[in-house]
Amino acid sequence: MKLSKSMAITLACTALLTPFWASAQPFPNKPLRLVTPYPPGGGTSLHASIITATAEAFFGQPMISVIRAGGGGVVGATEVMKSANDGYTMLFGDPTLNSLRPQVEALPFKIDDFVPVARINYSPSIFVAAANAPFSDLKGMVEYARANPDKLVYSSDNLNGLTYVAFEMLKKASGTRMKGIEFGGGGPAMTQLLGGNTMAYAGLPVVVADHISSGKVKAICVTDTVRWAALKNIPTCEEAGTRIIWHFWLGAMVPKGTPQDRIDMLSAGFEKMTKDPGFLALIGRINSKVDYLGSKEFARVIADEQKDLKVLYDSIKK
Amino acid sequence: MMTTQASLNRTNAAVGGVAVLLGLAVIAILPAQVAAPTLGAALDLRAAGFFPFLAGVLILCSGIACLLQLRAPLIDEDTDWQTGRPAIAACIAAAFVLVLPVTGTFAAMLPMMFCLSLLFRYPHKRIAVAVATLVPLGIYVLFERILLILFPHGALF
Amino acid sequence: MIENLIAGFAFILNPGSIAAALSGIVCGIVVGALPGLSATMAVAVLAPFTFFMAPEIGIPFLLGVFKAAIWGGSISAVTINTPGTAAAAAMVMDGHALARKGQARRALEISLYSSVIGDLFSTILLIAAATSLAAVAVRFGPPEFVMLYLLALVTIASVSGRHAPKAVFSTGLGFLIACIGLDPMSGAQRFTFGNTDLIGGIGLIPLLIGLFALSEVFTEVEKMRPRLEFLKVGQDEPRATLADMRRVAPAVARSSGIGFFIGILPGIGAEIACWLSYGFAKRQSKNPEEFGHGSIEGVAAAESGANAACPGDLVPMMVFGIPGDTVTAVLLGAFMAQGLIPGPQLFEKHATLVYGFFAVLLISNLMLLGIGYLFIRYLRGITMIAPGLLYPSVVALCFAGSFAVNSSYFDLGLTVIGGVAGYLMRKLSIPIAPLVIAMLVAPGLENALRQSLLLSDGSLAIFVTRPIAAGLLSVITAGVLLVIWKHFRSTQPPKETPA
Repeated sequence: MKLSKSMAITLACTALLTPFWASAQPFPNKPLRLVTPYPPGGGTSLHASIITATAEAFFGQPMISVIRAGGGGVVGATEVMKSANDGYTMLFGDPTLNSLRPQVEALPFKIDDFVPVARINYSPSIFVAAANAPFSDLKGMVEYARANPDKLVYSSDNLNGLTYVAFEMLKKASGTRMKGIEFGGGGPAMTQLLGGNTMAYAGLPVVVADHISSGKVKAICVTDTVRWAALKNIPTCEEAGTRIIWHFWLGAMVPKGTPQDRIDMLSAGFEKMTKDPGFLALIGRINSKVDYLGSKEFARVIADEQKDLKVLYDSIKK
Repeated sequence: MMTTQASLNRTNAAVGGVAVLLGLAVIAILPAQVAAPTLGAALDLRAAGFFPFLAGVLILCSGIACLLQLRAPLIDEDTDWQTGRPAIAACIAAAFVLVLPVTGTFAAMLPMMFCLSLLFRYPHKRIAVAVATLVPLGIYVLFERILLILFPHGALF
Repeated sequence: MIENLIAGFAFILNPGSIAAALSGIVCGIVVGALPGLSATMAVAVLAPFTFFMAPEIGIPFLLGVFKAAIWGGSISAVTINTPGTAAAAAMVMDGHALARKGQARRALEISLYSSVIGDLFSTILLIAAATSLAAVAVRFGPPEFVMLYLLALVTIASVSGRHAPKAVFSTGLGFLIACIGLDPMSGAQRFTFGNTDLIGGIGLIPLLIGLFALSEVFTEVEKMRPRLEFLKVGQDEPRATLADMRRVAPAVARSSGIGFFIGILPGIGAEIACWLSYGFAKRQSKNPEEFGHGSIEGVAAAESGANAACPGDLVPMMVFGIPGDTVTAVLLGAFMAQGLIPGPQLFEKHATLVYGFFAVLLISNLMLLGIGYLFIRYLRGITMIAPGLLYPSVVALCFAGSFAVNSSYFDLGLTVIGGVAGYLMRKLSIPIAPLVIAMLVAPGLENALRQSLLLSDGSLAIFVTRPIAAGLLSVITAGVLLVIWKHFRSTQPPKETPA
């Protein structure tokens, strides 16, 4: 019958195109996936694009950036958690998604559902004030907040997001009350600050640096142990009077149960990549930096961070 | 002049009935589904429950308004319902979605497209099969090879 | 500024950049025209490829894709009644109605000319006044946004047809669907029923693809109309005339203004601008009853509004580095990957490059005119393809595009549900446009409302004490009163005349 002949041809073509033979090769023998759990255009997806564009040389297989947004990162993370733990699917995670929210929200995944592979970099947050705000440094800001409880209005991003946590740390360390308004992201938060609707914000250097340099906002302090290289005259929060350390890292995680040798291979691949001049040039172009940590080191840092965040949140809830 | 008793406007009846039920359902499950402890808390404009409550109220009111117009004349509404073929088309689409994790996206596209061609009574079956092979192939090349967007792959392709 | 612009032209008029812009436009039109593929997805997916190109090649390519895709959506909207992009949804009604009258070419040409005019108008404003406009735009706080979203909602009245209760039902459904998911401000899960995929909410584009494209396939398979014969493709097919353009000129002018204004506000873009322009044009038109049944003013207004929003979108992005929506966020990333950090310093450090991009925007506008004209001439033949081949291909493309938006299997199910729902809504005369507008507006409206109340500590007075918000509120109130009055007058019994 003519119909089955064309069906047979189609199936034959299909079989040729499907690499059945691949499953016998060593890891990795098919493309790797790096899942970004946020919509395209943000810092995470930008870093992911740069990583996946340069990764093939260091992993032996292409790495494909998959965007799976929703629920502030929850949907993408859950999908990676449920995927096969064979090392081919990684989550491009960050502290709010992997360290904080599983502890304080009812999410479909737990902290232990992921194993850290490699940290790519981290950024501190920079506290900034509106140009017309009644304070210009950390001491002034804290004094104003003490004198006017709940009157210092700041732009926040999302519940339990990067900016939210930064301000919770500030409020706890200084014992003050401020009012935060969630605007959904760095862009809208910055807009409201520039427009004079709010007085303060805390954001990644890549978002606020230009506005600081052009004088549109006042820099308060940096939540790190050292000053930010590109903006050397902004003090760290510790230097300015209150110790606040908040590192927003970006790192690759795999689902729990992935074989350790594959984790080590992936980790080694990332280490080589973060030393490559081509990769570093691209990272430099977007005003970011690289701070590689291997799997075990990374796991230690995250564990400490999780403990600190738990303490912070317990003190808020009371 | 002969006046005809206005017949039951079935469209309004159907829409009205569904809307009233849906509106009531939304408001009823609000406390459980939206973490607002009581309905009164939902009425706070700042609460997470306000907009769902508003939606439920809008749907409910629209349903009641439809039911009040049960005798309204039909204005350019479609009275010719031949849902047999669209239902089959919907089943083909649903079957495609259910089957593709098992067989793979592109392997499932071929029978889906061919069945739809048959449904549209397209006479030249060989051309239909050819198109049903080439279009998924083209989509594969464009999405997976060029744009690097991976589709679910199953047992076949 | 003029010297900068001339320097920009000199910089960008090289074969590489022109070729990049040209290929961007062609890709954009194709992507926009294919149902299931949207402008947002195209830019998001193509942007990483430009990281390794020189900025004067990569950025003109992306800009070309962006602009052309917004217009490209109208090709499939007119010919097969399925909008290729969300921004083309407003012109589906009139565009396809014109096609069914044998005037597909006229509709497509009017949409092309309107989009080019709207885009040109906006681009000139962008070049001339970007910085000052951006300064105005950031003054729009949450209370002002509440008013703007309410204004957009009011336009639902213009697209409700004659079934007011069903339009309200449709609006309510749109609100309900928009509420599903994780509420970012309070962290509450709304209507998720414990399902992980629902935590992410209901994706607009997959649902839209189902509501418009798949439902069209279901409707066609029911009616089994013969090979779209009424769409005559021939020498004597009516084309857009100068008289046509003169007639739509006021609508185009107004819509371009509205579109540009909506575009410069971060957070609102072409998808909402097209509806606002359409609704406003209908209200101001001398022939409002034509709208929805083949009004060229409707086509012109929707198209010019949507296209005028695109250069507007670039204003906050380039001046402040603030992305208004996904497309500008991706463009922002593409700029940054080239070492061009948008923001206050961009214009100082890279003036020639920036004005080169402005020059590219102007040039690609003209290129769009030429290429679009060719596409119209040769692509109308799509309608001659037998339904038995055309619609299965459309379905395959729709599913592919729907999955590609978020690599989500769940979205495929959404598309099927949207298709069934869209089909039923058409049979029951429930207008689909209110649902779409409500879904577009509800999230922004809810967030802006709650942010405003947080700013004002719960007081509603903030909407009247802030001047811009109060002004917008009065415009809305006047508009609503006008609508009610017109409705009341049209339902009054005619006056008795003495015998």
